[in-house]
Amino acid sequence: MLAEPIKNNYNPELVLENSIKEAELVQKASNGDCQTFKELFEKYVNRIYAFCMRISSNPQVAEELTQDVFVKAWEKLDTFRGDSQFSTWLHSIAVNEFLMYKRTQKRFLQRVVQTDNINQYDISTERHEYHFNTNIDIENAISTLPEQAKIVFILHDVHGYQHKEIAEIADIEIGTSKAHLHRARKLLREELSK
Amino acid sequence: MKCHELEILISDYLDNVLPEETKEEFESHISECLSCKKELEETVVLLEKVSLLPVDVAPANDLWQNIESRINNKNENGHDDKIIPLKTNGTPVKVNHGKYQDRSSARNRYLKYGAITLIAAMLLIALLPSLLTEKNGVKMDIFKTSWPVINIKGVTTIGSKLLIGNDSLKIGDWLETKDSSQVKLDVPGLGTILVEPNSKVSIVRSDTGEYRIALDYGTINADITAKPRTFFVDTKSATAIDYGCAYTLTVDSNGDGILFVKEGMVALESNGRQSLVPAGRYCMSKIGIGPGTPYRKNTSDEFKKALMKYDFGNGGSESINTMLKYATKPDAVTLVNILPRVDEQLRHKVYARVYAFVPPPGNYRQDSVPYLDMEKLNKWIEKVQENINAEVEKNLKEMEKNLNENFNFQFEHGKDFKSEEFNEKLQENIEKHMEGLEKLQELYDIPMEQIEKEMEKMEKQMENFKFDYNYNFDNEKMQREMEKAQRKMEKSQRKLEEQMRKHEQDIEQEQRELELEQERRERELEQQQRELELEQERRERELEIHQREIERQLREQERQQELEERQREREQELEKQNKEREERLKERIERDNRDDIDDEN
Repeated sequence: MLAEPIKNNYNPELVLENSIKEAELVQKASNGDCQTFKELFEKYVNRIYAFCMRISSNPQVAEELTQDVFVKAWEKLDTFRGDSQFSTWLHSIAVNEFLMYKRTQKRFLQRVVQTDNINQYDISTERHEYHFNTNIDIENAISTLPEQAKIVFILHDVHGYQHKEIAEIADIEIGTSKAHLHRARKLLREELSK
Repeated sequence: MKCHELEILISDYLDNVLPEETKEEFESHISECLSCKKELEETVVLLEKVSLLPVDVAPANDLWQNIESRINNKNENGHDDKIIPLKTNGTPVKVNHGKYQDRSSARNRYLKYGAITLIAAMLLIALLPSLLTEKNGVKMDIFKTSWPVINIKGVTTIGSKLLIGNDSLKIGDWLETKDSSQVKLDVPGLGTILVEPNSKVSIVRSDTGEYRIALDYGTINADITAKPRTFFVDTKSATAIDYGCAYTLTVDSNGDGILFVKEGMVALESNGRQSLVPAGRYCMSKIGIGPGTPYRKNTSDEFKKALMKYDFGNGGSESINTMLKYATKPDAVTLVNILPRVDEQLRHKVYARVYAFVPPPGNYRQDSVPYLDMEKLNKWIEKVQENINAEVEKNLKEMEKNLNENFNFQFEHGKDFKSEEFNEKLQENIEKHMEGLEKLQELYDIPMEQIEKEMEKMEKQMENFKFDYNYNFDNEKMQREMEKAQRKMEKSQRKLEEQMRKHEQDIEQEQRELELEQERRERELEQQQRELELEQERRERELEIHQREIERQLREQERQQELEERQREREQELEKQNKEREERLKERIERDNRDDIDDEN
């Protein structure tokens, strides 16, 4: 028997209602209302933290990244035009912050440690104790994925974003996103069958 | 469909986004090909495992406290250097506690329109998906790239095109009004700009969400309701920054400008100089120098000239002395503004002069100049304004009282209007009005022409009143007059409504056209996107085929090598066998030989 394609649970009315409520909150927050921004923070902090945790594979770094994401979001609230979901926007900030962090980390290591193999000092290659208690195998397998493939895989298969949205979040082409996903799944299958 | 083609389609198949035809092909291939079926099943198993992963994970520590303290930084002075997400250029703004920041007029105006702005903004957010588009990752806001423009009268051009009726002004196009033409420019969602005759303006591109126009020469009347620092007018000598206000800005052919603020507050900035101009004040700006000091509308010519000399010439102490000589109480605002810039030798003089009008808030003496920071100067200016306002109010009350007295007097004397007593009293009253009006004019900057008009009107009313009263209040006549006025009002009301409706219809029409244009662009973009995707897929497939071909060739090569190896082995074995056979043969021959010899023996 063939595997059934996964169906989208899309309810347009609910989505519209939520996005209007969210737009109101964002509007209020962008006028400098810290309390309203806290509501938005509480709504999305766990999702963003989970995302940062998976891409960085390090709880401390994930906490720092999550803080940076929300501070950046607060500063740039007025540039959020509402043509995408607020969560999508937050994820795109998270991806940027992560890539920036990686760049800084790499530069820092290049300056401080004179070595031929920078990767051995790379934080992401270290194994950390996860907060996720179950599914340790799959979480560890995800952490071994190459950077871009990992981002696309987490966004698509864990957070349920479509390729079009991922293209927007990670600033890549839709085709590239598909290619990364294909590669990530293949690598994961191999890793899990070891 | 081939296996490598199917591999790429698995993701789309599971996402249920494959076209029906491809989906059928996919399924028919899967039902026949075991390896592809296995791959699909493995992917599904993987996805089932992944679906068990939590999407939300709570961090171990409370992150909000840190975030809150980062967005509410305290500076060394203990002031909140709160980063507020107000500025639209993407960088955080620090709230400056400098002068005029808390000026009540600007705040009131903002509060007054705050609710309306909020509702409008919320409506806009609901409309945004249909109004915004995205091209190559750059957000394009069609509201900001072209603003509606309405021709009021005369001949106006946009670039080399003649403006007829309603049109729109795009970024970079210059709008030029001629001798007797006038145009209304709508700043989307913020207000309107009336472009007066002989003016040249254009919209300046801003990627940071600001609304910005350039005024090359001429006059604009802006009526803007927006957050502070949202709307900007660039001129050659200074940039006018809106703090929620109505103002007139004129720039001559050299680029020198003069600003008059009717309501709210405007900042003029250039060459590191900044002047905050409150309502009822003028401010000049000179090319190469920047903005000068704000001054009131009806200040004396001598004061004005000295100020100009001080701001833009090399007036120095002479100018200050002239200004002090001619300053009246309302000029105190200008003098306080000048205080931080004036030479130390003259500072005590300026200070003492303003002190005499209104002393600064707090316990300060008149004979020694204290250090006053911007906040304190700001408070002082507010105190001066409040003091003037109180006097205006007092005068208005007095005038009201006089009017009432006059009215009562007329009633007391019944029809005897021609009596001397009445005329004397009337004259006395008119004189009182005049005094009151003069005082008001000085304090509140009401132009003399307006007062004269007001007086003429008042005298006429009195005449009419006398006339009507003489004829025992012809009630029927009055009734008729009132009805007539009522009808006139209703008529003009209807006309106004009609105009409003027409204007709304025009706007709707324009909106619809914009939306259609938007949809068309989106369709085009989607089409391009689809083509790109197809191209990408095609390339990926080609790459895959190529790779497979290389793999196949490699396998072929390996097989060939293996065969050669085996061939070599077989040859070696054969050689070995031959040798053995030869040896055995030799042995046998030798044995036979030996046997033969033995036999012979």
